[in-house]
Amino acid sequence: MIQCLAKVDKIKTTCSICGHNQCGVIVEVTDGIVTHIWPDRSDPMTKGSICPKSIASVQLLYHPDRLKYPMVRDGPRGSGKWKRVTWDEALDLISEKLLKIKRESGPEAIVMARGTNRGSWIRLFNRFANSFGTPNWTESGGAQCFTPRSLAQQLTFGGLALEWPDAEFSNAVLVWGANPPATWPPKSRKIIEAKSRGAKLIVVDPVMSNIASKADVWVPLRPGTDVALAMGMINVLITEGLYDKEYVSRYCVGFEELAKRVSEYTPKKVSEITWVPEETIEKAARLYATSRPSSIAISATFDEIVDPIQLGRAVSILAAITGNVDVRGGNIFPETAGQVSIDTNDFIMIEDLPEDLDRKRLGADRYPLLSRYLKINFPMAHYPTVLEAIIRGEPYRVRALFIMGGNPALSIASSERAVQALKEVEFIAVADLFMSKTAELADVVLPVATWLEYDGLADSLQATYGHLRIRQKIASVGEAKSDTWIMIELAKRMGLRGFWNSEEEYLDYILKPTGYTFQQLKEKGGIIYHEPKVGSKLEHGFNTPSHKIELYSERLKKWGYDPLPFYREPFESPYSTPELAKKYPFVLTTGRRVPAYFHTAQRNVPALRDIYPEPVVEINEDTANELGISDGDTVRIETAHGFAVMKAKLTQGIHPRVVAAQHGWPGLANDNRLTDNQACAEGIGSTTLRGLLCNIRREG
Amino acid sequence: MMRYAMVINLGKCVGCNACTAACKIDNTTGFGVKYGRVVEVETGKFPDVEKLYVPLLCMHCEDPECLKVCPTKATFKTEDGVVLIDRDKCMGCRYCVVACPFMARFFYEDSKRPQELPRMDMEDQRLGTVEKCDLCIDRVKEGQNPVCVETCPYQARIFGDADDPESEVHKLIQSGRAKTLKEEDGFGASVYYIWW
Repeated sequence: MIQCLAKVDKIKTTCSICGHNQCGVIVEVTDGIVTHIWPDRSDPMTKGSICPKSIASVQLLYHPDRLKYPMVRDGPRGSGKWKRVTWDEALDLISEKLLKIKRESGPEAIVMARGTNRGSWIRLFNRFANSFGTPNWTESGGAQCFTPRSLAQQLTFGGLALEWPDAEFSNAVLVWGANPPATWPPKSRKIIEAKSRGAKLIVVDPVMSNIASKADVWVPLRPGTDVALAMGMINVLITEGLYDKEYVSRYCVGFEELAKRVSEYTPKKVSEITWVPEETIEKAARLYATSRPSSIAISATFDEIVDPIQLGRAVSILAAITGNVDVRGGNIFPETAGQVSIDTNDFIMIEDLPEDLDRKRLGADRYPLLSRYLKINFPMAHYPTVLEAIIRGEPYRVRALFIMGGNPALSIASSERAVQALKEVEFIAVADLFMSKTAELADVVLPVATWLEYDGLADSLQATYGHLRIRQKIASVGEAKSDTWIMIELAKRMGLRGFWNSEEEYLDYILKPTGYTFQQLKEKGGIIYHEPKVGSKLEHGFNTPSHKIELYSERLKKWGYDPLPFYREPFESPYSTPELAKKYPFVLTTGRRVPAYFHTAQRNVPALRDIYPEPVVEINEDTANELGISDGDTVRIETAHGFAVMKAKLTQGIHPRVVAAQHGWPGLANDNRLTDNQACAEGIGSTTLRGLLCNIRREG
Repeated sequence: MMRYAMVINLGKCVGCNACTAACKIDNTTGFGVKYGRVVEVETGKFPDVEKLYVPLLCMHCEDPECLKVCPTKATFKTEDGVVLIDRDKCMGCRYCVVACPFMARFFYEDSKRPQELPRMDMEDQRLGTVEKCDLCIDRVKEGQNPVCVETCPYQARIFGDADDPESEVHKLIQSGRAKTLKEEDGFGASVYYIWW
């Protein structure tokens, strides 16, 4: 009966449960309580895409285990004993501790490590680090996510076209190493819409994933051999004359060198490397090239193999030589909606960091593509090197970790090693929603707001195709504050240059070139949108030194790398380490995603856990039968680096010699117990998450 | 006459489970209770394998098995084709849970209590009774779509009056494209499936 009298409001806002997609949603609020989350089909870009994580944010918001006020530890580290403090006390403590370490050991002794983007604060974090003076800003993603593929795209065509398949206008879509239904709902929605009007779909994935289930051509390659496949496809197109000769001659440089290089990658050779039949390689290449316009959708696989730069380069080149870059229905370049772009070196105040400190960036000597001198990517410290510096004290001692939105205890390769580092470092502050495995080891924990609890802007780099939405404060739990607020308040205490007095002042600064204040934009409906401009690079030149698409990269050559893509066998494989393969006969890919979880988060949300209750490893049904493994059995996966325990899911949707483990589960089910943080990609330092060797057996 | 029907386009369903989550949130169901869910159906042998994601819910059968076995007549069918449970009459015997060919019914016991949320009535009237999809009948009576239909990002679900010649569901059913599960056995229901 109460419900009949209830006041129901519907508030348009922008979800940020994953931080990437920025789906427009409508939040239903009943008597001031959030009761439901609906897709906003009126949004001009996301058009009603939504995922279970967003919908179940109702349970996340009011979860009984939320951190509700700041706490400092009241017993030994990890003892679980905490004392409630005020925000002032917590921020004073962090600020004083960091300033003290800075005075005693230099700013580089403090590492700022971030994980997910819970809002528009991500680049504030870099800005904070530069203003504070530490070169050691890093992220759980970083070399593992986005940075390598971003660099590869910048080098090739001076922008991030592979991030945006213009699928609404495509006649074919090639999805490579991504499962958009699980991780990119707006892209997924476009792809399915294209498919439903007859567009062709090609999916490159070792596993019959959600999106692969819709494919016209499924290319189940051996994990980690993606570069060989891309080179093989380019070879087919050049050999058969199916590339766009006019586009190549007008807009590309280095075609002759490319043609010579790919001639080594015959379908026969590529088939031997990838375990994909020659006909499938040819079919995929022909379908992509002849169904134009065609677009490509990629994701983190491009950052998690032995040589991610080469994969980003090879697939960028595939798109370029078929004339699919900067054209309607192909891959198009992102642009802001006119606001201050947070994704620039100006915004992060890169010049504030003195040269001598820049040289101390951890890992930048071994992985120079992460460093500052390229002036392409955001320079960052190498996470595994940071952890080793903590443990070994070399090249210098790291004394403090300031962690926002991250859970390195689970999410970093060789997670046991990460936990050891967390235990050894002198001081840790963590800002999070829950007492995560990382927060448990901290000295101070700060309660962070969910996306329903703060005013903000949805200006993620990967979702700002002329589109900007606001995020609204709709609810409030305990004393939780937004990440942005925390950064601003800490900056004030530390007297850092380049910060604002309040969140609203910050948002107004970002919006200034649009002519709106945050309040004005909110009153006007909260959305700025203009259709992306397609073809401007073709008209005015690409953002590269030659102003063309660089199939052959002079810059890579100058920096000492191969100017053309080439295939490198994974660090461990049946071919690169045949002895090891005797003990570990299966090829392992980790990092499988399901739609209900974002990395290590949300396992505690009941509505989501009910859908995906257990950590799952996928194994071929016939292989499992040989090994005496039944569906649902508890199995032990072993690699040269460790073991993990998961539930077996038997399927025909995977090669008999390939095993695919889910990502992000805690405890023994953590797939990062199987990975190796020591073998890292040349130049950029990515750890291999796709293409390891393993064995698998029934547990017990 | 009014006959509510749902047509699910399996070509568009990618198994994202947004519907499952929305259903659980809207109905505040406990752990293990899913009025709606999505199952994977795989056929063939690697690499020639096909996978379908099939959303399941109460089929609101024409001739419901659950209704036949209910000793207290708690389960009943409305004139517009919706199978409902009268909670006051349900004594929790669970015959219907066993009888349902689609495993769409759940007995609500203490161990399945949902996460407590503000405004939630923890003196839950459902305890000790059987629960299931009611096609969001309260919403439907107000002219809205069921929650799963309203949520689907791919608009894979279409809802309407199968007896209304102008409705999309009517057209799809009449064309013979939309089929119930087990239609070859003469099985009638209010939930239909199409492939693109």
